[in-house]
Amino acid sequence: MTETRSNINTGTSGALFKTSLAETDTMVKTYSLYVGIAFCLLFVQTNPMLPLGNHGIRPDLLLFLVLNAAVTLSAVHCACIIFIIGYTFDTVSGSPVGLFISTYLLIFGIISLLRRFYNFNTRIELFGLLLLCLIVKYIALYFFLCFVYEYHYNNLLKTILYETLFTIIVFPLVFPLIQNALNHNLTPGKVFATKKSHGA
Amino acid sequence: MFHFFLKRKRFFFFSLLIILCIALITLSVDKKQKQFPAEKALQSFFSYPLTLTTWIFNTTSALWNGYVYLVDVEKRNTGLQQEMSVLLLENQQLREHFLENQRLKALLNFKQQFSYHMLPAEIIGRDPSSWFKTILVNRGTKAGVTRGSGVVSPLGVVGTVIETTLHSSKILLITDQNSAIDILAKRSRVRGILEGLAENACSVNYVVKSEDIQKDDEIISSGLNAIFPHGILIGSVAETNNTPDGFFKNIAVIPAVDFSKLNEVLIVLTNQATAAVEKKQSPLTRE
Repeated sequence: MTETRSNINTGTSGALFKTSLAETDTMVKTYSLYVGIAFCLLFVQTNPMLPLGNHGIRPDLLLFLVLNAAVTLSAVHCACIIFIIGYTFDTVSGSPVGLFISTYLLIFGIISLLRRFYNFNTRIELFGLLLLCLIVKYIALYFFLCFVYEYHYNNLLKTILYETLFTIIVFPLVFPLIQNALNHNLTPGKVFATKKSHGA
Repeated sequence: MFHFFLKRKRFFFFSLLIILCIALITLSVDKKQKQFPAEKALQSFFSYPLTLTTWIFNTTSALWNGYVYLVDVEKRNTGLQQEMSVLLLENQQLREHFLENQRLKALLNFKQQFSYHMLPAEIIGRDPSSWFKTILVNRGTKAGVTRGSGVVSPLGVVGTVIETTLHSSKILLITDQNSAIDILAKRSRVRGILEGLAENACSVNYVVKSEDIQKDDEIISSGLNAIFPHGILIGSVAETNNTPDGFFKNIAVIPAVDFSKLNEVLIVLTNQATAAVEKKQSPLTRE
């Protein structure tokens, strides 16, 4: 028991429980920023005055935040943030609780796997990753809605096409804003970046 | 033992997360379950900025339309005056018919089972996802809204209340996959169940092939479930066809309400809900 405690204190066992004051401060700041931005994006997406998607099909702005978090943050913190984002989305929308949490976590899982082999730095690479995220999202949603919740969608293709189109249109406008807001407020290198080096 | 857990903490963390997701999905499959307090708090928190934005937008547009944009007002005013005189005449006739109807009902000793009170509400938000059809309105339990209350507009049926907080409510539109309403065909009095098709259309199910339903027939609420008053327009039949196998007709219905242009709705409150709110707000009961 004594040995275990000393291990935690000296930090030989890993980083999940050993946090200094500065790290806690950065952690609180990162979580607050991500949650704050998620609320702002959700506010825009829910607003009835949004010019896009008057017929109920809207761009997925929160996917940009999930994408950014999955590319920049470490796995544990990223999963926590995505869980909060997904839960908020599920609460505000008419979806059953757990649907978007699971979908976003699945997207995060796939991006994490890809990050082991490739670094996504440029906007073009991130755009490609967004397209992949959209495909994963639709497959996950289709699976959950048809096999878990037993919905019967007749015109799935129209929803998918319009949502993809709207999301792609707003990506060059919104994603740099999210990146700037995060980079401006969080010092690069102090965010929970993964310690592994990624080979291109 | 503790060392074992510490060594595999990432694995345990992600396993816990997956278990949590599965638990949430399992809980939400049961559609009758109540909202978690965290969900209520989040929805409530979210409704305040949305209400404020809607108020700012409506005030600005009212200012613009009422004071700045006054071109053609005189011309429109004259037209409306003429229209009003025609409607006044029609109104008088309808009043006469109404009174006559009341007298006849009294003669027949007709007992009205449900009476309704309409509560106006403003739309403050729409569903952020493209997959579900819900709206948020600025009236909640404080105004007497309860889960299951019907929602209508002057054009027709809108949906039902599925979640409520103190100052806001979430409404499931009739076009959502989860929506189901008991209906009547106005001409032939054929009954069926109206379900959403997840786009701007609905379908009427469980109508047998031999029943008489045609294109352009009006569909109205049956009033049997006491959520909506009887006879409120829902939409019109866009298409009917008989499948070679199966007992029922395929009937597509276009809703009377254009949900993309909807700004205000009326929440149907039953007498019990209205009485409860009045009792709460009465100064005598407070003392």
